[in-house]
Formats: sequence, structure tokens, C-alpha cells
Amino acid sequence: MVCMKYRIERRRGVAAYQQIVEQTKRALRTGTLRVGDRLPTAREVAETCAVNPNTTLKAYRELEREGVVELRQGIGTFVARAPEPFVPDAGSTLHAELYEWTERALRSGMAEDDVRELLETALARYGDAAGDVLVTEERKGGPA
Amino acid sequence: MTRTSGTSGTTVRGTAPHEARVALELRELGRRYGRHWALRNATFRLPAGRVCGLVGPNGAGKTTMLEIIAGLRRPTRGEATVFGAPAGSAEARARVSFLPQEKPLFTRFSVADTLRMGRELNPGWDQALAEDFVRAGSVALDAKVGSLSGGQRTRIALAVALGKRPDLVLLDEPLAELDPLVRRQTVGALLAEVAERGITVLMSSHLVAELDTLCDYLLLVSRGGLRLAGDVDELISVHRLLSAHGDAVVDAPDGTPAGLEAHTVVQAQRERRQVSALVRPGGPVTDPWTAAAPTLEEVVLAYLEQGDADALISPNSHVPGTGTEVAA
Amino acid sequence: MSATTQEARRGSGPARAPRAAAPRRGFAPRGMVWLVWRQHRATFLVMLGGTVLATAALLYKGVYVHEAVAAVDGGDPTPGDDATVADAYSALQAYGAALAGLPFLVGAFVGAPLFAGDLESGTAKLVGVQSRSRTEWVATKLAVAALFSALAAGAMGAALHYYRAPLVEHDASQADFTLSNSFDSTGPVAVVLVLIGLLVGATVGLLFRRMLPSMVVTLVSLYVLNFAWELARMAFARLETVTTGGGRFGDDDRPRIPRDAVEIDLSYLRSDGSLTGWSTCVNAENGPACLREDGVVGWAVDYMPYSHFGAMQWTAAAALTGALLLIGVVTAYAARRTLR
Repeated sequence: MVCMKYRIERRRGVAAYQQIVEQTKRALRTGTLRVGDRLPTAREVAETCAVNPNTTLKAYRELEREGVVELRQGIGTFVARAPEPFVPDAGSTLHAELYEWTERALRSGMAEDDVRELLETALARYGDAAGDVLVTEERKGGPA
Repeated sequence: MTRTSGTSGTTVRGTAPHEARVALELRELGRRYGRHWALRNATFRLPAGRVCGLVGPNGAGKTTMLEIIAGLRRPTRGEATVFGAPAGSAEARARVSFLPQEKPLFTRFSVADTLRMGRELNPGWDQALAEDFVRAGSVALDAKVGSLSGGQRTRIALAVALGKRPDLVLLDEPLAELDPLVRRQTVGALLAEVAERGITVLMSSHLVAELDTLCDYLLLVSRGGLRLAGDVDELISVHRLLSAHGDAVVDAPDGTPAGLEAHTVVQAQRERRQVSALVRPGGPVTDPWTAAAPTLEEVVLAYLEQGDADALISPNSHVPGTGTEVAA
Repeated sequence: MSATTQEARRGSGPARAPRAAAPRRGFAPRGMVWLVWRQHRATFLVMLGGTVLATAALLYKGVYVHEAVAAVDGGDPTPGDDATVADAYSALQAYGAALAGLPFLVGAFVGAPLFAGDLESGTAKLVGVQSRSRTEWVATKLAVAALFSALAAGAMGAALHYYRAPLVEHDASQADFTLSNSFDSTGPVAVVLVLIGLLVGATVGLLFRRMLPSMVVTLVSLYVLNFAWELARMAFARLETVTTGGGRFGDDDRPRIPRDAVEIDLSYLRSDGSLTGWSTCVNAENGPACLREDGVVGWAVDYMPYSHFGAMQWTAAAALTGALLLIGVVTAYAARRTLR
């Protein structure tokens, strides 16, 4: 088993379980985790990282829903396949545009934090404008 | 969604599924000391398997509520049931552990004596679990309790609480006065037991920031009674933090900023040129407002500061037959 | 269920089985009794040690008192025997006074801290959230403390009784067994009184919840109760009366009472059978003439022989048990009020 260290931070708009999902996927992209590896049990995560086991299990269920991991009854949670790459390859248009935009923003005298905040505001605004406002009914992670 | 229901039919300790889903139910619970109501009209259900934070200002009755559930006090009004048994009954007491804020222990007992007390007084005592829990904190069994540090005492008190093999653990400000490292170890040890046995945890705290990564469920009480109850992710997701430039928003005659008519405004405030409002959205957010997801702390503070905001009780904590509003 | 948790449960499953209790040999307290013993064992051991020492010392000295009194009564005492007997009378007063203080001591140092200590330190909550009931906790604490208190009062009282017996039989006028320091410190009365002390202390502790104030209030309460008991005690005595008649009321004409009896009251007897106080005509110029004019014909003496001592002990103990039960009702109320 690979020793995964999850770290939950207080982040606006990112639920704790989503952070575990993200961190697991990041570990897969960077090669810390490979297909076939067993993820730590909720108990192990709780003990080493002080993460609520319900959060860990919710994240694992989300990862299973996405097909990234596989729950094998009585054995453990295993990485089934690498997550869909959603970061476009270096050299793609999106990549180039973002680099260009970032450079312009920083040149204009904005601090790094301002840039980050601007990006997050844009993301949040896009999310709300797209009708994500009423996620209430959807109840993410509700009974399947 | 509880761990119990998601576990392919396995339920906590072989109890019937419908019973196992509700760890705790309060109905119009109130307690009066003399003429002062320390707690009034608390009504909610706590699904089993959750790690639930209980927050509220000092004097909101958090300790009183926990003591009633633990069977240490009688309510003046209403009732509390633990896995279907009335709080304070022999059956309920056997399934509940309570760690008071002052973490009382017999200071002249050794650690081994303290664990023996647990063994002598609890039929379901798990000596191995308690001893492992103590050893994991590198506390010697023959050490005198009075000579231990605050963190070590917390661990011993928690060992007694967990060795009883409870189904519901009540903790009153468990992490106050602990240094960050010990706090992390204690939380880790407690959560490991949650993972191991699917126990339900209800812990009070006045530090909201401490709870939002730790708990998956939240109860907020204020002097007016219960304000919020529900899944943490859900409580956050049904709220939006709206902000706008102050010049772009005029206040309505009743003092609330204009442009929020579609939403349920929990709290709004104007600071210099910035107007912000925590709302439960009832439609699209319109200009000049911009929306962001709130943190749990922001949600909690808004409800605390605006004591008369409508209570928000999520369906899985709603007690049938009572008149509280149900979210969504 | 998630495979992760199931595996975790399976992995450490066997180790989690409750460990079987080790076999015990002989008598060992268990359950709530163990807790009460462990928590208060210092107090109980001090009580036990003090009781053993005091009882042994009284019995040891008592043997010499018995021998010395026998020698004096036999008419062949050595000078040492006379001294022993004389010393024994004053020592009896002191031992009796010390033993009569036992209810106060037990009330303040065993009864008052019994619950107030736990309420003050919060351990009442610790015990209150274990699986056993609060009623069992209160009852066990009281029962174990009562056992040691009764043992102390009973054993030391019996030893003092042994020490006192020859002295009373030799000359009860120097060893008044109806007074507090003798009557209250032996027999069933001593046991019931120490239990009252314990229960009053425990009740005050439950109501006041703090140790020091409870100890003070206990001492004050016991002082008041003791005062009432002082007034009530003689009501349980059955007295004998001896009279003289025929105008014999001079100081030399007082009737004799048995030497193991205590004189309780002395009056003049009139011819019509009525009594008048011994101070009648005490200021008259001619006392005898004044008395004769008043119709006095002799003396009347009320006395209590030592043979009535046992009966008085048991009736008094029965009445005190009634008081103990009444206090017990208050204790139950206080426990209910404080502990939930």
C-alpha cells in the first residue's frame, strides 16, 4: 500500500471530501499512486491525518462513481485506472492563453493572491450563472 | 446518507436498520434553572454514524443538552431518546459515553485503576481497546492520573469513554486547552474509532473553525433554540455569500439591501463600500451582486449574529410531527 | 459497506474481544463496591486502624482495671490497685468523651466529603455516565461508609463497655453511665449515632456540593442535633424510686441506693405523696421547721440501676433509628435534587 497523506484545509467552496478526491487524482497524475495500488482505509486516514472517516468514504465513493477506484468487498479500495486527464497538454491553446493572461495580470501590478482571487471569483460566478445556484435538490452525496 | 445505510445491509451492533439510523432524537427538549431557561425547544434527529459538531454561543445550553442526553440531568420539558431508549434509562446509559469539559478523573487513581473502574462499572467493557488506546498515547499504565499532562488526561478520559464500547459518544469542548499536536493525535484516535466501529459522535465547540474539517454534521443552537441542523456539505451548498459594491445597492425601507427579494436573507451587513449578505438562494443572482460559496464558519456566524433567522433543519434531522421548517 | 472499513474491522477484530477477567482468589470487592473501596480506601483504612488500636488499648487496660477493682472489692488491694482504680475513673471520662465525639468526626471527615468531594472535582459526572445507576452509586457509598463507621463505633463502644463495667459496679457515682460521654459512646446507641453523623454529613455534602462548607455545616448541624438529643436522652430511662418517711429528712437520712446505680433526682417527699424540690426552704432561717410546715416527711430519690442500662440503650437506639430514617428521606431528596 502506498502511504497517502491527505491534508484537509479550509477552502472556500471546496468540500473536504472533494479535497480528498482531488488529492487522490493528483497523486495518480504525479505517479505517487499507480493502478492496482490500495488506498488507505478510512481508519488509517483518520488515525494518520485526523480526517473524518465519513469524509474519506464519501470521497472514495465519488472516486468509484467516476471509475477511478474499485471497492473490493473485504479487501480494500484499489486504483482501477488513471483519472481522465483534464489538464490540457502543454502547448494547447487554453494553456497558452492562460499563461499569457497570467503574465499580463502580474505585469499590471497585481499580486499573486489578487490573481488567484480573481480566478476564483470568475469560477464562482460562472458556477452560479450556470444555474448551479440551486444545487440544494441535487444533494451531492445523498442516498444513492 | 449515513455510513450505516451505505454498508450493504450491515448495521451497527445488530440493531434493526430503522432503529440504527437514528442515534439521537430530541423533542421539544428544554431545561430551566430557576426562572432561567438554559435550553429550550430543541428538536432534531441525529442519524447514526455521523461526527456531529454542536456549536453555539456560551450560555446557549450546549452543556445542558449533552448532560441531559448522557442521563446526568432531567429535562424540564420534552424528551430525549438514544437509539430509541429514553435518555437516562439503563439501556440508554449503556450505549452512551460522555466526556465532560473538565474531563474529570480520580487524580489519586493510577491509569490502570481508572481503566479498572471502567471495567467494573460497564458490562460491555473492552479492556484491550482501552489499554491500546492508552498505550498509543505512550502513557504508562502505572502512572498516577494526577501526574499526567492535560493531553494525557484527555486520552485517559477518552479511553474510559471508548472502552465502554458506546454507540454514541458525547464530547463537551474536547479539544479546548490542548496544544495543536495533542489535539491532532486526539482527533485522529477518536476518528479511528469512528471508522472502526461506526460510532456516532456529538461534540460541542465554540471554535467553529476547528469543526468544519472534523465534522460531517452540524447543529447550531442559540438562545432562541436550534438554528441549523444538517449535513455540513449540504448546509454550505444551500447558502451563497453575495457581495456588491455599496454604491450600487440601495437599502430597502426595512434596512435590507435591495436586489435580494428572490432569496431568503439570513444576514446582511454593510461595511464601508461593501455590502454582503448570506442568503439561501431562491433564484438566479442578479447584478450587481456576485456570489461565492461560503465557508461553514461564515454560515454559522451569520446564523449566530442574526438570531431570528428562520431555522434550517435538514430532512434527515427533522423529527416527524414537529413544526420546524425543512430545508429544500 | 466500504471494503476499507470492513477490512479494518476484520483486521483487528480478534484483538478487540473483551478480555476475560482474571480469576480471583478469596474475597475481592467488585463493581461499585470496588470503586468505593478504591476511592476511599485511605479513609477506611485509617478508620479501621484507629478502631483496632483503640479497641486493643481499651481491652488491654480493661484487664488491669478488672483485676484492680476485684482486688479492692476483695479487701486486699495493693497501693497500686487503689491508684489504678482512681486513675481509671478519670480516664473513663476522657475515653468516653473522645468516643462521644466519633459521630462528629465521622460526619465531618467521612460523611461530608463522601459526595461533596466528587461533586467538587467533577468525578460525580465521571461515575454518573458509566452503565451503573446513580442510585446504586449513592447506596453503595453510603453502605460501605456505614459499615466501617458502625464497625468503629461498635468495636470501640464494646471495648469501652468492658473497661467501664467493673468501675460502674464498684461505684457508679463516679462513673455516671447516663451521661453523654458514657451512654452515647457504647452499645447500639453509639452505632446509631455514628450513622446519623455519617448520613447528616453525606446529606449536607449533597446539598452544598463543596467539601469545606459541607464539613462546617455538618459540624454545626450535628451540634444542634446533639443538643436536642441531650434534652431527650433521659426520656428513655426507666427509673426506680426509693423514699424515706417518718420525718427523716435530715442530710444523714438520705436513702441508700445500690452502689452500681446512678442518682438521677433528689426531692423531698410530702405526707400526701407529692414531691417538692430539694432546694425547698434552703434559704429559711430554720430549715427543718420550714420543711415541716410545708408537709415534708422524708426524702425521695430517683435512681437508675446499671441493670436498666441495656433496656435504655435499646429503646433509645430504636428512637434514634427512627430519626436516622427521617434523615435518610432527606438524603434521598438531596441525592435526587443534586444528581439529576
